[in-house]
Amino acid sequence: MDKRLKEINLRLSEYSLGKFDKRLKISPRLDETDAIINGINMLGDELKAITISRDYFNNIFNSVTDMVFIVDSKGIIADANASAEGQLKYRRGSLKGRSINELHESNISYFESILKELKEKKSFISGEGILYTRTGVRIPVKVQASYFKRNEQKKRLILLSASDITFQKQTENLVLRAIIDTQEKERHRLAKDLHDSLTQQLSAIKFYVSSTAVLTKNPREKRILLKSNEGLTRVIANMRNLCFNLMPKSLEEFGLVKAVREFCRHFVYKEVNFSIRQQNALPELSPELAIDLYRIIQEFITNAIKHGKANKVGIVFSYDKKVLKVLLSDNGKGFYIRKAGTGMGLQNVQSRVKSHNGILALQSHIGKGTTYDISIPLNMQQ
Amino acid sequence: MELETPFFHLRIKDKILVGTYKKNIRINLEIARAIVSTRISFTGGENFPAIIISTGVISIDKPAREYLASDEGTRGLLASAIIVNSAFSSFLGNFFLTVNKPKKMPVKLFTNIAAAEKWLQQFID
Repeated sequence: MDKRLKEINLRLSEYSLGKFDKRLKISPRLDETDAIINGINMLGDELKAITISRDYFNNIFNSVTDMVFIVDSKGIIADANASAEGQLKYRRGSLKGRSINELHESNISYFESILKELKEKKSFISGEGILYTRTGVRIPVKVQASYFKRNEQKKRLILLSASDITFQKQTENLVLRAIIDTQEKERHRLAKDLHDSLTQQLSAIKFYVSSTAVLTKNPREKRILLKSNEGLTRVIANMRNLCFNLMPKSLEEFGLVKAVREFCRHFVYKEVNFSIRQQNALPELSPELAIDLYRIIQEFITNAIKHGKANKVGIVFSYDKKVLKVLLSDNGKGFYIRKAGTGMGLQNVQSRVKSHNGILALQSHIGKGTTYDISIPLNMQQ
Repeated sequence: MELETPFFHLRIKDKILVGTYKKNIRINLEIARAIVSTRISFTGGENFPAIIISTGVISIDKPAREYLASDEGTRGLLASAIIVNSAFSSFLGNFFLTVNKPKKMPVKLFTNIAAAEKWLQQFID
């Protein structure tokens, strides 16, 4: 074989192995073989540059601490970096081909909502979500998404990056918990004071009034005293309802479902039809979770009747796969969620759900009513 | 109007800039920058279509190829006709056009000058 052809053969073999440093010599003849040699030398330059840039990209891709996914328009993972596979406990390369929705917790397809928002905004979106590891551990994450165009491919890919915000969420939840617990303590104190002092004193006055009404002979005074006694009976009943609303004793004694049934039974709007169902046995709930869910249900019912003018309210409790679910629904007027989102009532509901790492899926349609779908993971409870 | 440099010969003929590379020249980034800078000085900042006779070029390294194809490297050129009249220069020219084709400037390979001049007429005001 010609010496130059041997050199070409050797160089091409080395290029195949990823060794792009050496070049071939061009002879003074500048013949066709030299033309090929020149082409091979330039090919070596290009391959070296591409390899360096690919290695550089791979190093960045796999060195960042954020989880990075490249996903196609159907949500199938085309690539995931080392951090994503490490944090989600998947073997190297095993995330490829899976749907991003497999890693997400959501009632509606999370990826579809990202895609929709990206199409609307056409550039970059950011939000919060939950990712699950292969072993089922949930990781709260901040998600950022943007379009990613690879070479000249027409098919648009999406670059998703997710940073673990567990610590931030824990801190937020601690603050939320502290605020909510302070509110509850204050309500508890107020209910106790009202019950132990005012209600007792009113009961004593009622006793004197009713006794005097029995003893008096004057019909006019008797009538006034009996009316006063009726008035006091109503005030004491209202006071007891107030104390019950502030701190329902049945919640501590008999649990959430019975306390909710009692609340609905005592509810002042008698024309409202309540449907309360418990689909299966619920585990024992922490006092904080029980009171939070109770408050949320109270808030929902009050809003449904006062603002929504509903006459049907549904409450369903269920427990499955370590997740407690509470589905609240009404047949009221409904409201615009975006407008209501800034209100204190809804914010309180969201804060209480968030403080237990829960999810609130809220739907409301004008003229068709409102539903709160609450999911609380109980393996996360302290 | 003509100019002789260590790397090439430049002249303007019938509103076309003609650049002929010297024999056995190996172009690296430094030489490529010098070529562009000299060319711009020679034309006084005026834009011309160009014929580039590259038969003397033995090699152009990657940084030089990228620079010559860049906006900076094609400054002052309305279009380029590259003359390749050997297998060697044809190979080199084809590689340049395929891998480092300038984005803003039309460029085409020719084996004879007359055809190149004819094609460049469309770029003369």
